[in-house]
Amino acid sequence: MPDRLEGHDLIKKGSDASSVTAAREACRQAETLLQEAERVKADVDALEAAAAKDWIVASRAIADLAESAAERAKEASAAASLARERVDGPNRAKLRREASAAEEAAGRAWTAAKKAEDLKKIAGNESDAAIAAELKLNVEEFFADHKDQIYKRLQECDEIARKAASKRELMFIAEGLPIINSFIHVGSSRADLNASIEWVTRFWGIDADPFVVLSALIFIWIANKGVKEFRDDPDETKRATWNRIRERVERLI
Amino acid sequence: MPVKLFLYNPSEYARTGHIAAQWGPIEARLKNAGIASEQMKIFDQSNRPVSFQLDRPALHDRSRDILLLTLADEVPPGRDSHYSRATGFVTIDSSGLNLSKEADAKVIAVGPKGHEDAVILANSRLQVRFNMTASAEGIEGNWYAGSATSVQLEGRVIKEILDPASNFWGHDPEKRCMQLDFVDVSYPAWSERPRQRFHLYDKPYKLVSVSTGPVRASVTVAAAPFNYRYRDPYSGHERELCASLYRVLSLFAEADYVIEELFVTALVEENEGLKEPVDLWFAAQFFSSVCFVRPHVSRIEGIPDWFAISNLLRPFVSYGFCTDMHVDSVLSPHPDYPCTDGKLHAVSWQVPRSESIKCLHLFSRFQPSIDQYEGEEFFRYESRKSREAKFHFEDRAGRAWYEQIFKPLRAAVEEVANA
Repeated sequence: MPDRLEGHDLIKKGSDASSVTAAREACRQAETLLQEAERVKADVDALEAAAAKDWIVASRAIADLAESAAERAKEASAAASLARERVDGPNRAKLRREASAAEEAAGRAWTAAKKAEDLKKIAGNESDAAIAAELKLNVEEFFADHKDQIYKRLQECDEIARKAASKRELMFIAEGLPIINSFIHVGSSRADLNASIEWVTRFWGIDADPFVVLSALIFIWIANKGVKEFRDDPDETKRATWNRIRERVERLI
Repeated sequence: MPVKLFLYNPSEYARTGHIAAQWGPIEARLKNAGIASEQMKIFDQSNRPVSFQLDRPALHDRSRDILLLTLADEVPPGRDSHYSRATGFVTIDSSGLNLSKEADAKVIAVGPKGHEDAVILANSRLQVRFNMTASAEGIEGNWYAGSATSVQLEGRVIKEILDPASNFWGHDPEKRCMQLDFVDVSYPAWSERPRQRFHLYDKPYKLVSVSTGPVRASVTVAAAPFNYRYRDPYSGHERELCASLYRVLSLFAEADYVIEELFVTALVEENEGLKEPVDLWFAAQFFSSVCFVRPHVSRIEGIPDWFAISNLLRPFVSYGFCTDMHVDSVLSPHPDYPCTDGKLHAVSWQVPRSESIKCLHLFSRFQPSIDQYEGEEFFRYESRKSREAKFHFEDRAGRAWYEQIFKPLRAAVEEVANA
């Protein structure tokens, strides 16, 4: 009996210890995966002229990393649950501490997984934005010819939104969308526009006007272009403006 | 002795705005009262002066002369929709204070006198450039006669209604509205054929008269004369009348619409042997092409007297057409329109035969409120705004048709039923 009990205790003890270790290890891996995803995103952001293919590769890599991070978070949660279930017996206080440690690790793992998921969504949208602009609508050349005017207009929209007393995000969108819609209308051919609408309908499959989705994607694409264009600008206000524009637009989808 | 001009409101709600009254009966009453038209002043029920002007849109036809008023106060609702009881009045007198009000609407003629290229009707909200020649300024092509090639409405960033995308990269040269493609002038009943068609889009218009005042600015233009041939039922001989289509375009103060009256007349001075001007019955085809990103045509089957073509993506803008006739054959897009890039939306529609046609061209913009619900996604928010825009434009066009065309406020010197 004592042997069996001792053995049981050992197993139990060993199991609890491994739960904490497992949770911590899973957390470490999830955080590493998040860092890796952030690095991939930073790399593609840093590219002077990131094309649609760069975005596609990056977004796929980030999606894989986010998925793995989510798996690790699940493992950490499972380990933490196991640890919590076994908080019993003479070493209850110690077991409770260990379970709390495992839960804390699981929490951190989930935070990392959530961040990776957000990054995946942003990268996915940016990838789709590049596909829409460069491979479907074919507006790159038109944009290059008129980018100064478009940047100026969007900066004006940001200024209007910044001065607004409330609902600045929506104010910016309300001011900026006519410019984006006009850009799509004038810069693309009807055939490309129809193909893009079809692509959005097929791949996004949401119950919304596909043109609005397309507008949002092109808005993201232009905001990205703006951030790249002005990131080395000596005018700090301009850099801040474009970072703010991108943040506002990224929240669209 | 002052003369009372009774006001009729056919609606169930109080209304104000502009009123047009036939000048003939008023002139006769003023004559009896010893008030010369040059001395007349108009006062409301509170004895405040009222803005008014006297318009003569067709020099050859005094029956078209009208007195126009702008009311400051509301006219209470009438008993029914049949103008059976006056619910207000204004007084015409020869003494009293003058109302000195600066004219809000004006007419600018473009080009040499007698050979104008265009006329611009403008007020503080709207500016419409009406092209008189077949070619338009700086644009290739000879199909712009009698069309509004630019319509600009008040707005902070984007002003052009016909091409709202044009704030960066120049206007689409094909954009236009209010164009009369052709008129079909009816043959007499004994004729073997029903009508004779005259195309107008490639022939110049002539400026006939201009009128401006505190109530409205208006121009009368005449399309190039055409020869209308018919068979005399008595002699059996072929006869010919030289006739023209007349268009009276009016822009009221602070309005965002243009009211148009159309008639086809053969004048005495252009037809030997004719003792008085003859108005001919005609049908007309209108044409417009607008550069809307997401065009949508709103039309109510039960009320085929108006429609609106709206851009249901930002910027939300709309062009509405209302008439006192039914609108037939709205073709949207217009088939066979030779614009290959598909960025223009061409619409044509017909107005059936009549002796005269009154219509209204409405230009609207919609700036939706910013009111996102808790947790509402962007796509749903934008779809909601698009629906709001559609309802707004339909409401504007339907209301303009009802208030300006179907049941306008009326004024008459006699307080009788159906003034």
